[in-house]
Order: sequence, then structure tokens, then C-alpha cells
Amino acid sequence: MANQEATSRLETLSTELLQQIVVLLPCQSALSFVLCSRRIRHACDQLRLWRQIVQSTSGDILFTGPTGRVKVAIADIKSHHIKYETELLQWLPQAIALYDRLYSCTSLLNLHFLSDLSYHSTGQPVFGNKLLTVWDQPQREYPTDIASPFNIDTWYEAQAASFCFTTTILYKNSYTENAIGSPWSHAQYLLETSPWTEIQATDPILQPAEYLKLTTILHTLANKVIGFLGARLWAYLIRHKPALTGVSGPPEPKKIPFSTLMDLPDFFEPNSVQKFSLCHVAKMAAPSFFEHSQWTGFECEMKQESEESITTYKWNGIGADTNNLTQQRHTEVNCYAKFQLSHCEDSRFYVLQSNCFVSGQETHNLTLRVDSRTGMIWVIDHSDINNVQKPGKFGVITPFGLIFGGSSPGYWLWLWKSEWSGWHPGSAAHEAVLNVNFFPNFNPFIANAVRNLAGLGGPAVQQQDPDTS
Amino acid sequence: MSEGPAQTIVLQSNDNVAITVERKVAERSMLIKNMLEDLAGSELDSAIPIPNVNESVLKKVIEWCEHHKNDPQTAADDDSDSRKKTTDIEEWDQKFMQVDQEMLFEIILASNYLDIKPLLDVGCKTVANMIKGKSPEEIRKTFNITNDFTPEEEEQIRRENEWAEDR
Repeated sequence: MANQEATSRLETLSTELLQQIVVLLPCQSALSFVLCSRRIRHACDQLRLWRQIVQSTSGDILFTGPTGRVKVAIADIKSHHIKYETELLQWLPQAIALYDRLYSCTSLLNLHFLSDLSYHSTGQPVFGNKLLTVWDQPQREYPTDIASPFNIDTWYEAQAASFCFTTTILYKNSYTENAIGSPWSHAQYLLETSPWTEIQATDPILQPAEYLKLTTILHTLANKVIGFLGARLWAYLIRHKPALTGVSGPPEPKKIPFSTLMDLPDFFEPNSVQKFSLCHVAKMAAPSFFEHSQWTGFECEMKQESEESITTYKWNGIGADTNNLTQQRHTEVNCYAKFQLSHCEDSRFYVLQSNCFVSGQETHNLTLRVDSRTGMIWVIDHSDINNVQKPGKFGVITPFGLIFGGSSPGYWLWLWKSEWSGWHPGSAAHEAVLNVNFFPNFNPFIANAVRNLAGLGGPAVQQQDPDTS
Repeated sequence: MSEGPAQTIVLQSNDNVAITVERKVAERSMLIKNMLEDLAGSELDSAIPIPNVNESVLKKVIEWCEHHKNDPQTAADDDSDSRKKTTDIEEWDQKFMQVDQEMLFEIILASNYLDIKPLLDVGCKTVANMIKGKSPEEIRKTFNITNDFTPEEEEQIRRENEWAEDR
């Protein structure tokens, strides 16, 4: 007989038996169950089990609604009305990596603020003019100095949020069930003011703590700029569709096998935000990740016309026809990038050599020194077919591919594996993009209001499309 | 193969009650089945002790085994996925499981110990059905669980519930 003082008979079951019960429950009941007591929570609130719960109950009518989401993780239930960012980042990055439809969990603006520490430093100049942006006079302070008051834990959070942010952008862009998603209207200004830095003086062996902090900063900046690039690139692709020959679409989160590429920490695991930071490098920064793969991408060059404060863009897509170039130069020029291992310096650092690949009218030869523990990439050489130096200076291996920032502001080279692209030339999806009569839902009034709110400077957002080809 | 008409064995509960049972019935327990196979050939003249299970529970378990003695032996690993997808319980088993909680959990523990997977399954499904659709407080009440979270944790849990209950 149940006795008020006695332990519940249910709780005397072994952990294994409690887990056997919880996986039989639909999401919401499973959530209620783990919230009953510490014993049950300890036994049952585990990522492996949630995955099973979600998989086995996804056929339920639970969350098929006007939002159109059919498969939702328990994490999604938890995600509505998010009020506390620290908790959010203890599970959302993993959840997004595991379940691609979680993009709708929280707003892009929220994720942007969580991953943008310069927003928090308004009026607190901690790091002056050092980071390069396309704007002549940086309007914001970038707190990326390793001596900045933002400690590495704050950066871990920013990085986790930046992963969510960019996955969400890429997902929205590729979301074709109802309509083509609209690029984020703030992305243009934020792309133009995206900072970049490189690791030069900090020695990974002698100054491991400083080095680690810088890598976290760079991972955050890298994820963010890919998000902004993704949004602007989509706007460009939609607008200039007749000129699109040969290029592939941006990567889609559901085509990037995050769950196998990343060694994800458990939801709410202690230090999960920190563990998330480099959870992709074991696989993605290994030489084997580069070899035998075909890479595509875009080069983006921005220039600011000083008088009008309007930035012009040049997008060079990888995948153009290379026959002419090969014939002219008597050198093999490939339409896709490929890498091979040149040599290993030691157990940690190795050197990759690319083929000669083309983006638009530009050619690239990359020699890269990779830190397999952190995913940092020193560009030893970035030149074109005539041995003219190109601007790529320092790169980062992100879950969305490789991003190289330039020593001159406003230069980005973003490479991703071909198979991650949402569409390839000639595919049905490509045709669909070409046939879309769509212009980004771009509301300058809202965009300006949000920018002011965020303490972002810069000229008013303009209605004209700044892309030029 | 000696398929004697009524080959029986004797099981002894932990309260020292000897229960005679058809071998085929007892072999629904993989624990007993494996044990008997290990003893193959040698004469089994004493009762098999079942130290974790008392008489009433053992009888209840035997009742289930009796009813299911002709069920095909499931390849437990193969169908584990399909088993997990539903908490449907066949009618006889549902009636069988209409017992008080004490007995229910004893059956679960006994079937786990005796390695009778289909019975363990029915037991877990019964518990799952008792949890389904309830709030944490209702589940606590049903199973007499003490809420041992601190007020802060409870506040956090309350907010988590707010999310969950939003739809």
C-alpha cells in the first residue's frame, strides 16, 4: 500500500526501467514525467532518450498545426516564450543541429543580439578601431580584444547563438514549402559592418587560454558573417537569376549532416555551451574531411562609394564554365574547389593545397595551414592563376563550411561542400528559383527602427537593391 | 527432444512456497529457459529458487505465462522499434494488469528479473498509459511521488511547463 512517507514505488525502479517507460510517452507527457522529481529527471532527461521519444511520436498529431511543423522535438515545446537566454543556449544549438525544423524557435533578432557582443558594449569602448569593416569609419566598438571585459564564457554563448542564428537564416532561405523565405532585412548593413580579425601574435602552445578565446571569437564572427552572407546571397540570387549559370545554391541545414559531423553535448549538460564551441572540429577540421570532396561557394567583394554611402557588391560564384580558361592558360582550371593534404606539421597542424578553381571571372589557388584542434586556418597563400595575391587572409572552419576574411575590408570567400547545396544548375529546385518572381519583403521603416533599437549606426536603410553584378 | 505430455518443474518463491509449473510455461522466462538449457540432461530434482519474487507475484507472473505459453517467441531486438511506437495493450493483458500499483511494479520488477520481455513491455506500457496526458502534479499524485525540487527549481519547472502547456 502506498504510504505517504515511503518512496514512491515508481521511483524505486532502476534507471533502465524508468527510461524504458519514458520512451513510450509522447513528447508532452514525457516532459511532464521528467518534471516530477529529481530521481526521474536524472534518469530520463537525456538527449539520447529525447531523440527516441521524438522519433517515435513524430507521427502524432501533436504539433501539426497552421505553422506546418510536423516533426518537433521536445526542445521545441520548451522553446516557446523564451525568456532566459542562458537556458536557451544550453539546448537550442544541439536541438537545431538535430532537428532541422527547429528554425522557428526564436526570432532572428533575438539570436542576433545574443551573438553580437558589440551590441552590449554600446557606450563602453573596449576595443577600438582594430577590426576591419567595409565602412570607412567604424560606427561600433568590437569587444574582441582578448583583454576585453567579455570573458570566454560570454563568447561561448555568443558562438552558440551565432550557430543558431545562421542555421535559421540558411533554413529560412531554403524553406520552399510555402514560398521562398525572405532574407533578413538587417543583413545588408550587418554584413557590411561585419568585423574580422586574424590570429597572429597569439601562440597556441605558449598562450593556450588567450588563443582559445580568440578562436571562440573568430568562430562567432565566422558564423555570423556566414549568416549575413547567406541572406544577402539569397537576395542576389533571386534578383539576378538570368545571370546564374553554373553556380550552386547556398547550403541548406537539412543537407549538412550536423548530427554526424558534430559531437553534440547533451541538452542542459553542464558546460554544454562551452562543449558546443568546438564540437565540430574533431571531424570537420580533420584532413579526411577535405580530401575527396568537391567544394563550391561564393566570393563576395564589397566596395563603398563614399559619397553616397552605398555599398556595391560583387558576387563571384564557383562553378562557372572553365574550358576557356584552361585552354587559354594551359593550366588545369577546375570549376569546383578541391583540397588535398600537402603535409602534416605535427599531430595538430597540417597544410592543405587546393586545386586552381574559378569563381566568376576570378581564379583561386589556396595554400592553407589548419589547426585541427580549433578549426583556425592561416592562409599561407591565396593567389590567382597569374600569381597575383588575393585578399583571403584568415579562415575558420565552421559547421557551414569554410569562411575566409580578407585583409582588405569587405572581402569574403565562403566555401561549402557541393552536396550541401540546396540546388545545382539544371536541377528542379534551381528551375524553381529561376522562376520565382519574388523580391525580399524589405521594409525600410521596420529595419531602421530595429537598427536604432539595437544601437546600430550607419545610414538609413534604403529601398534600392544594392547588388550589382 | 523430449516433449513429454506435462513436463513440470518446481519454482520456489522467496517466501519459500513451491509452485509446480509446466516447463513450457516457465520457459517464457529467458532466465529459467537458459538455466534449464544449461542443466540439460542432468536430473532436475529440486525446486528452482526465485529469490527476488514472492508467492503472490510469482503466481501472477505464471498466470501471464500460462496464457501466453503458445505465443511465438519474439526476436526481442528486431521488433524493439515497433514495440516502442505504441502503447496499445491487448485486451487480456489489460485486464491482467488491473491490479494495485504495488503489484504492478512487482510484476515489472519480476518480469525484468526473470527476463520475460513481452510481460515487461506490457508493464511499462501500463505505467506509460497511467502517465499519458497528466500534468507533473497529477503524475506525482498518481504514483505518490514526493516533489523534491527546490523552490527555485520548481519555479524553473513551472516556466518550462508554461511552455509545454501553451498549446
